[in-house]
Amino acid sequence: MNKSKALGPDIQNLYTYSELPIGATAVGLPEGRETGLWRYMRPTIEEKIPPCQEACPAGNWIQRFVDATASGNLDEAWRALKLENPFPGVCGRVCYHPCEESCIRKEFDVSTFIHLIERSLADSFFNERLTPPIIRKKQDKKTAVVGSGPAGLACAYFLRVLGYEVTIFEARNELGGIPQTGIPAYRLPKEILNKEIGDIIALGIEVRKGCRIGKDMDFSELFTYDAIFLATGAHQTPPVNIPGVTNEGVYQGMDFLARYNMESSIDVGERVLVIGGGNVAIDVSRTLIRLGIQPTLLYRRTRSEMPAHSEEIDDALAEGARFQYLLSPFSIRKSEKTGLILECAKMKIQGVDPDGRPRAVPHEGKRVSFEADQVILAIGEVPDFSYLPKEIDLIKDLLWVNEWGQTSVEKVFAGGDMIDQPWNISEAIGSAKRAAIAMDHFLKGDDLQNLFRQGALAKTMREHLDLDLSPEPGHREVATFNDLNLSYVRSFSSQLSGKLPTVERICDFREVNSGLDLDAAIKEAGRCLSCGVCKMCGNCYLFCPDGAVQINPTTGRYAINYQYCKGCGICQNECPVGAITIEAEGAM
Amino acid sequence: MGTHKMLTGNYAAAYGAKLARVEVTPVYPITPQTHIMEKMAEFIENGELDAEFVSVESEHSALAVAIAAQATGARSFTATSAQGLLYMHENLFVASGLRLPIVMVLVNRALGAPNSIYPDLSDSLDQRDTGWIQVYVENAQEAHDMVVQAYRIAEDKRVLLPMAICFEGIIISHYMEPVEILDQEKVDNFLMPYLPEHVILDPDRPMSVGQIVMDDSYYMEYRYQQQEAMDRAKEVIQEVDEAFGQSFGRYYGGLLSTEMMEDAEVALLTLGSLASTARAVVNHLRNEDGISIGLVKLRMVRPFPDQELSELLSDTKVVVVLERDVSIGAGGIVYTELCRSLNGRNGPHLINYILGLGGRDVTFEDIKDIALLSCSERHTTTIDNPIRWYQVRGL
Amino acid sequence: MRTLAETLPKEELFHSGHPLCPGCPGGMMLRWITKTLGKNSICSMAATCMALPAMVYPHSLEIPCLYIAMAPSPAGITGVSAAIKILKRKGRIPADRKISVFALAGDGSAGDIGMASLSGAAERNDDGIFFCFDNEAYMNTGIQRSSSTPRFSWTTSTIKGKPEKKKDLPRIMAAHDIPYVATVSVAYPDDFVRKLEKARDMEPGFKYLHVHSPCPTGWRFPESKTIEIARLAVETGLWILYEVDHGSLKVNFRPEKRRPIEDYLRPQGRFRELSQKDIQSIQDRIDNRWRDMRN
Ligand SMILES: Cc1cc2nc3c(=O)[nH]c(=O)nc-3n(C[C@H](O)[C@H](O)[C@H](O)COP(=O)(O)OP(=O)(O)OC[C@H]3O[C@@H](n4cnc5c(N)ncnc54)[C@H](O)[C@@H]3O)c2cc1C
Ligand SMILES: Cc1ncc(C[n+]2csc(CCOP(=O)(O)OP(=O)(O)O)c2C)c(N)n1
Ligand code: SF4
Ligand code: SF4
Repeated sequence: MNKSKALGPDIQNLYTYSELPIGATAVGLPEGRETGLWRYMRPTIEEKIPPCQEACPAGNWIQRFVDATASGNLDEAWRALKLENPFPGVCGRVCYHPCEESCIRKEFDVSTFIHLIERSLADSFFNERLTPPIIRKKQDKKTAVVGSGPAGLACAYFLRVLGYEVTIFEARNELGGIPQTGIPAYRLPKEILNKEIGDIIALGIEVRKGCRIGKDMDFSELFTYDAIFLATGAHQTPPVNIPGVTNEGVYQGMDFLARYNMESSIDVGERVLVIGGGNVAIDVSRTLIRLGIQPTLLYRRTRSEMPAHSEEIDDALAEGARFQYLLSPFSIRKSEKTGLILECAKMKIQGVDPDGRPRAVPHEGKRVSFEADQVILAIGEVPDFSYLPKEIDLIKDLLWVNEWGQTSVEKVFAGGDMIDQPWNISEAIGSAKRAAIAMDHFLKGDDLQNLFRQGALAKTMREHLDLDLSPEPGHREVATFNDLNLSYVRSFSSQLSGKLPTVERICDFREVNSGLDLDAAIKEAGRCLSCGVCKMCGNCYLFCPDGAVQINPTTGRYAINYQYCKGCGICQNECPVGAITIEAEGAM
Repeated sequence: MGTHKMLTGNYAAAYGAKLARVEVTPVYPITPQTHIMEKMAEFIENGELDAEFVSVESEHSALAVAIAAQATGARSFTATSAQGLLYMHENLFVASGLRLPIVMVLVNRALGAPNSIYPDLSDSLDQRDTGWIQVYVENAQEAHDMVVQAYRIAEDKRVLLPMAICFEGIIISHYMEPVEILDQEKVDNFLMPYLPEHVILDPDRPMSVGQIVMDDSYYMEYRYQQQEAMDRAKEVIQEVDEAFGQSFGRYYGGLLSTEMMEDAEVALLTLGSLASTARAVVNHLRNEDGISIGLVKLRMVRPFPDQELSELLSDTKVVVVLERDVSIGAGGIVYTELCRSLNGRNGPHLINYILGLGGRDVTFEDIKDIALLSCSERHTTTIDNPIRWYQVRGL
Repeated sequence: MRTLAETLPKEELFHSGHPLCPGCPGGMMLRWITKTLGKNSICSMAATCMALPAMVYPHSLEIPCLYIAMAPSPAGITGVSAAIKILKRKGRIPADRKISVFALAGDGSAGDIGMASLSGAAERNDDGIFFCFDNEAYMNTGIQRSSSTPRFSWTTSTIKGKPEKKKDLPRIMAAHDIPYVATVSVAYPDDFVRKLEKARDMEPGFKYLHVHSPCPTGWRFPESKTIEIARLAVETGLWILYEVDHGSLKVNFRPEKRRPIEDYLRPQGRFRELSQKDIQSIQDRIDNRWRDMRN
């Protein structure tokens, strides 16, 4: 590939002494020997999936935006981020960031703080309109989205990106779903949420607020749309089997939060009991603290089994919430003198539940009672399916969808808390994206079943829109610790983000976590190991003794020239990110 | 007209190099050559010659530097003697194999042990297989003239071989003689600047100089090219001698020169300073005694004038080779070369006198004795003991 | 910040298809050198493995290259640069044309047979860059001991391990008080190229770069590990990356914590027979050396 110019006589093909150049010189520079014939090991540039990306339920293009951030290319970072997620400001704050759990850097020192980088990027672009990096030309099809929580809004966004007309139907007068009504402002400031919602709507999405399907409009009217996405979440309180739950002064956690968040006023007494161990219970408790009340939280198992996020439990404790464990509500009575009396059964841990969690069982019938002005129950909600036509199948308490989010009715898709998946924002976004991609194929008349079987159904926009230029995407493995060469990792400590001091936090609803400023975020991004993804460090190119690794001018990426590669394996050994594999020549 | 000066052979040679406008001169001191080095340094230091003087750390490097400089396109010049020459040995082959027309003055000196600074031509004759053209001169003037001629011979496109000008240390190198220093302008007309095309380290024409040939690929062909160049050098040497004579009025005869050889029955064949003495003897014996004797002054040992000698000596009865060198176990080196030249033909008897080694004086009388003795052998059918060490004490 | 791979010229003047062993550190070194010095350079080559791609047909080096003999590659610098000087004065080479002259020699030719030539060219401060390709033995002739072979190392001429210590050539060269002496390693291309650029752009004079070059064939380690071994030499503190710029010494890389020398020795077959005592003695030497380098 690199020498076709023969500058002099090809002495190998000369026959007579008089044709030879004089003086034992040679000027010929023909093709070199085909040293590729020496090779018995064959390296392949084969990128892998970074485990963080694999772990991100929303399908963020983490490596790309982090790498771009690290190199100070913020526009590029922002484009990569926006392509896959319309809620970086929200996710950067309240997503539980499973990406960081799987971060390989953890095994070297500390995980890269991906969520803080995401948040910092979002914050630094706060004053700019979020336009997606790409909007496909207008498609001649109309779509409807029911519910404007993270799932509904994300689906609307992706459908817009794909060129479709979108109408959102939302029962409430505010868009946003639980992040709007449930998540308190000290975790997710309203202006952040509303800015991102505003950016989505500004793409030209029609919004019908105050329109509850099944009440303000019949489901059947939706069938005028070419495809429909359902994302009405889980907002219904299941029947609670505790005597006295209907007493005045007993609230549902979600209602309590919605009322405070939407109306900013609620009457609370001095003594408040919160029942439950999940995020709702914690958010209720911390809201109460900010209202000047020191709540007591009662939970039927122990701290280690609490489903709430550990960091938030710590925050609640630091802020002054009292926790009592191994207590299960038994009855609520009204008392003239003291308001409410909550009687609880004492529990103990014995064996495990079918879901694998330690099981709490009553402890020899022991009871304790608490006096309270209010009792707030935060023990879970279920979706409301009453508005759906019966052709749409359910499975257990949830809506049935297939792998790409299609319900039993062809043109109806669904995602978010309605379907069988973990209930959180990034899952909601991920399910919305998968559905939007499937809807795109559906609206084009593609055979989804077939595409799925061939593995041609993308889960991310970058794949769907063919923007990921890495070689052979799709057939990739997830990078592991052993794939990396850590010699190239500089050990520098992670950038620390701060929290408001507790004394300041409990006075109002100011945001508690402060995030990173941009410089710190850029530094933090520099800690990313780019697992499995070539970041053009050039090691293979520099270290190949045979000059067999060169940039392919069409892709701009490194490629191996097997005509000359001797198979030494140095490129594979020295690739810091593990994007090169090597196997015996001829092995498949 | 050039200017006349009393000069030693060394200085005369250095003046020749200066006139040839040599460009790079790497040299390492060794008696009896050192004065050449000193004079070159002085010329360059004074600004009389625009060149790079390199005071190298060994003769091996001296020749290596000359090779590198010549390969880069600069006219190179160096000089050495005896041990220094042998220290260069490896690189002598390189210079000729690379076809670099480097010119070197070899001031002959005996090789230790035992150590002596006096002459013995074995040091340079030893190197006759290295692919260099070798000329042996008999006095300072010839040394001076031949340095200038050498560049024109060596750089000729038909030749492109390095060339050595050899003369005896002390006897020629150190004794002053009147020398005509050539006129620079005339030398400039006689000798063009060195503008190589065949071998040149030029980034615009990248080439590997001194390639490694693997297996059986072309080693022999490269060697044969050298042989052919050496053969062609004969005619070039003649031509250059002719041209030099026309420009400067001195003719040296090219490969060899003769004195009264037309009808000579006995020929003295010698080289270097011995030729001067032998010439006087021949003149004397012819003029005073009417003896049919002539002189062959061998100038070129490489290329060896095989053809020329066998023609010249075809009617001669006895050829006496007088030489200040020896190949232990074989005889005088020139004698053995001559035997090869005449190659068993029914030609003259050959007698070899090894004499003057280590600078031992060889007088007019000595050569006259030898000549007369040889004349007496011209009618014998066989020559006993043709290789004779002359005047070895106790022999 | 742009990476070295981006900033180095893309053009390969040292071509693929050369006969060096798979994994040879010389292959990369030659690529970096030719990329950094560019077309306008002339190479003087010693007898070394490196001569094979440059001097054996078909050639892989697209710059003029001269092979004289094993010893006098430094004299090659002398001759070429002297010629360039005079030819520039005479106008046969344009006076403003910058031509980098460099020599490439193995440790055997630099430190043994060519030591006088090297020392001579350095002392005369002839203009050029000399690379000592230190693979710590005579590799081209089949792994024989050189003065640069480290103590205890197996070679075909020291089958029980070399009893003598390694000659410290860069220090000897620094003692020549030339403008620039630097130690480099194939595992640190940025450092390598930075130093080479410095040498290239310096005023005329003799510059010496000593390249630590793990040879998979001679050191007996898998060919994929060339860089790893080179890096270990630096991380264990055995090979110190430093430069002596006009007499002032600067250590360019001080490992935060030096790894034990055993990490470097163990993967190499040539050190297979080392006893714990031998290893300790090497470790002590390294520790002492760093104590000297503390400043
Ligand atoms: C208090 C609390 C805190 C949480 N904190 C976090 C957190 O920190 N991080 C995290 O990742 N997750 C958190 N979650 C979970 C997360 O909020 C949900 O998983 C996510 O909002 C689900 O999104 P969704 O779009 O499916 O539903 P929702 O957000 O519930 O949105 C559904 C929308 O549909 C509307 N709707 C309902 N029925 C109809 C109808 N018939 N017609 C029209 N519109 C209708 C609703 O008004 C609502 O706006 C929290 C949940 C709660 C309750
Ligand atoms: C005068 C001389 N002696 C011996 C040799 C044979 N020879 C060729 S290469 C070589 C070894 C070179 O070793 P080194 O300089 O360390 O370079 P390497 O091959 O290890 O790169 C030897 C001894 C030679 N070419 N010239
Ligand atoms: S470094 Fe070069 S020669 Fe070695 S395996 Fe990789 S591409 Fe092939
Ligand atoms: S023996 Fe060593 S230095 Fe020589 S070519 Fe092979 S790997 Fe390179």
